[in-house]
Amino acid sequence: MGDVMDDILKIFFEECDELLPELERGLGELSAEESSQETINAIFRAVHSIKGGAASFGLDRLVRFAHVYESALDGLRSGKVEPDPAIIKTFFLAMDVLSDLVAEAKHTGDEVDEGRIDENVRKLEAIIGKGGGAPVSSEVGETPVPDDFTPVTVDLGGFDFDEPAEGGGEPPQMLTVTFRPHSDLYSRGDDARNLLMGLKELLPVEEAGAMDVVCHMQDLPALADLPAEDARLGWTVRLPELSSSGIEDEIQAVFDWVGDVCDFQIVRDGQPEGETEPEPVEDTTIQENAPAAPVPVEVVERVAQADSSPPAPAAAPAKVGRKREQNASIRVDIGRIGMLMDMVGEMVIGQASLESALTRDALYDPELLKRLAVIKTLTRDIQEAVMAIRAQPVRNVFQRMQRVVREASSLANKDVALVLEGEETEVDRTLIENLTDPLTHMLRNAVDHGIESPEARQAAGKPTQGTIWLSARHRSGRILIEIRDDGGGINTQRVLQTAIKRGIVASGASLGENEINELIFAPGFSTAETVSDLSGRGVGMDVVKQAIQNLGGRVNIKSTPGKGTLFTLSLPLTLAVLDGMLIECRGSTMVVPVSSVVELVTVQKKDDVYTIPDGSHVVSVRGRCIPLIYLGDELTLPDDGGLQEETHHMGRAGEEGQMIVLVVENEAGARAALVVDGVRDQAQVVIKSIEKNYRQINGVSAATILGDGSVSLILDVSTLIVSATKRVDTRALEAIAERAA
Amino acid sequence: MTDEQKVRVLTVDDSRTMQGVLRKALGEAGYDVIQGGDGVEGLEVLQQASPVPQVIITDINMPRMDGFQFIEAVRKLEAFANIPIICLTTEIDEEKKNRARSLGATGWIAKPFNAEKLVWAIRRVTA
Repeated sequence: MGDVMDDILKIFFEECDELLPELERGLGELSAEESSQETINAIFRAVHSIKGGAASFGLDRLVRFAHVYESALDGLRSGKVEPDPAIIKTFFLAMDVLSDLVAEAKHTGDEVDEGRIDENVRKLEAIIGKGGGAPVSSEVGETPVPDDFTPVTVDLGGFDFDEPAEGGGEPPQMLTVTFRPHSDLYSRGDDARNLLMGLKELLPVEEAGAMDVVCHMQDLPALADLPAEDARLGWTVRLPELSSSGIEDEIQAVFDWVGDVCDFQIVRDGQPEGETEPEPVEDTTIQENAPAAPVPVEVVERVAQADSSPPAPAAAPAKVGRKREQNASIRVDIGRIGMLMDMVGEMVIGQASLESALTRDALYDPELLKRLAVIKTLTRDIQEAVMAIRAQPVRNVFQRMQRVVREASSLANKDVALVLEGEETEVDRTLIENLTDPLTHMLRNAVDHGIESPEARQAAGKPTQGTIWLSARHRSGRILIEIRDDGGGINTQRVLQTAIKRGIVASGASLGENEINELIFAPGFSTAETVSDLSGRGVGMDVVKQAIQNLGGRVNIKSTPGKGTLFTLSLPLTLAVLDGMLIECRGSTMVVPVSSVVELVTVQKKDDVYTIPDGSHVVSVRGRCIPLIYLGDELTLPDDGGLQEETHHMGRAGEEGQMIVLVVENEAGARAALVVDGVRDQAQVVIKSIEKNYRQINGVSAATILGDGSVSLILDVSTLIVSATKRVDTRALEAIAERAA
Repeated sequence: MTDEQKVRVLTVDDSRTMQGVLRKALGEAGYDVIQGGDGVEGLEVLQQASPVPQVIITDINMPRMDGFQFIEAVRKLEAFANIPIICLTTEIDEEKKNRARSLGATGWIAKPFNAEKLVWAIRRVTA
């Protein structure tokens, strides 16, 4: 039982995760004046659903706040409240509170400050007061005042139907209930029998016999004259009032639904005939006529009368026709898709191994290969299709950034608008999850450091409101995310000074503009004079860069002084496969991610390779000195036996001949040259975690299985570069570069 | 109890949480529950259901096709013209209640509900 409730609670939180972005999107449209009634309905529905769900779990704080929020939104929905900027802002802030309350309930967030809730409730109540948006919902009969709203938690534990209905010692008082349904009662799917059963159930089982029922049939005409759809019967029921008070209300409740299609009357013994009970339920019309009296009501007329509100706007059949295509989505557990993804990976491997077997001499068969080609195409299609299933639009992450910018700008006393573009762009789900943190940080940075103060903007002849554009699009199999601001651009002088002060670069260094811009990604770099509340949270851009890099991405900066800064993130579409370059080294095949390869060059061992004082080697490529990594040594690959010199097929510095080096770069721009024995191929490989199955290996990020069935390691270029450059004195590199030039 | 003996209930609600709660509450009370995520889906489920549900419980505030439109559409289908429909919603607006009623709803329960009230309501229309 607990498990089921936990599951439903989980569903509730999942739903909140969908509803909150929907709410944000709706409010965004509202503020952009692109809203329709449908938008407003969606906004309302989001808050409404969160409230409804929360009530089921007794999440009182959440329910109470959502209730006030919903009431305020109801004014908007009914058109009584005009969505001016101040009101929209209130709604946005309330959304943040709501979202934090959800996090609080989920135990993923801190407890929301009571003062903050109160403040927002006050603002919302001001709107309620303005628009007369009646509190929308609560239990029937409850005072419609938000504060009084007490949610009833669903009691799913015991279905205890035994109402405490023990009678006292006195003889019970008798009640007489007379009722006569109209034909509408029947046409609505109800039945007089239901009412009788309802009354019977009010009595404890052993007292059921105490109920006395009389059917009035005097209005029943001869069978030949009986209109089939007319209601001509009435009943009189006498039952004891067992419990002291409640039964009359309970009887009322039985007739609650049929007040308009059934005449009824409750008379207590001793009460004068004809004096009706006070009307406890709003819509229950208690007719004064005697039960047996004919009720001349025409069905058609009643329907017309009752239909006081306009007919439902859309004709149902049209909707049904349209929904066929709209309805084309189902929910699937992400684990299953992951499994599918894995299996497709295995299939790719299996098919590659089949292919390599069929191309071997003994088995060579062109006919089979031709058929295999068909399967190959299909496999690739399946792989793409599965990846497409995992793909999700970046919208939700992007939407979340609205709040980040809103909070950051209010803390920094800046006026900043965030414009989202390409929210539909689809990316692998795991990638999306990992994008939130880096994006959050970058946007905080853009508000904090990118956009100038309103005064400075005015002085520069810019609008006081700054703008940040966040966009996403696909380009050549990768996703490009751009964060552009119209702020002051990067102050290269200041960045350089800071970098020198922090010892990141030597004081005499002459760096190009781009290189200076790149410095902001250096660990421990921060130009803010005072560590602000925003960006100075102990995380620098280096962490952002590292995170992007871990996703197989790159970050680029372009800055125009006075005009703004553009950050471009380039990311792979998925983390499940990778474009790799297959290289050979001491008889092993290894994979280097294509994204980190700069170039492949052949160098002269004698002329291009230098030994620096500490004994390590550097290679000069296009006038730039790059630390040389003997990959075989670095990974301590077993050599083929024999002398050390011979183990390197390509030999060492100082020898005659050529050497193939693969110039690789990490995201910080540091380069290294990997000495390899050869390059075999370039291929898409399926990433298999090593850490999960073995343990982390320095210099290796993951493994893959090649077509021939062999396991191959995927190199972690950045750790290789770090370990190589640690050994090399950069000043020595510069000295050699100068000498070479 | 076999499924054939169980009373089949169709619940229509766009909140998955609410659907979960209903499924559990009604399931434990011995009902056979089938569900639709909005009016459109509800209609589809209803028309494909075999056996036909004996009661429909519907939310009012839903996207695509709301509860009013749903009730109206169900009542237009001859096979379901007399199936009891209970609205389970947070709306307590009189006008809306009357509208649902005029469109053919059998009863009305305000959310948040408790399981007992709901079961009572279902028994009330399926007795």
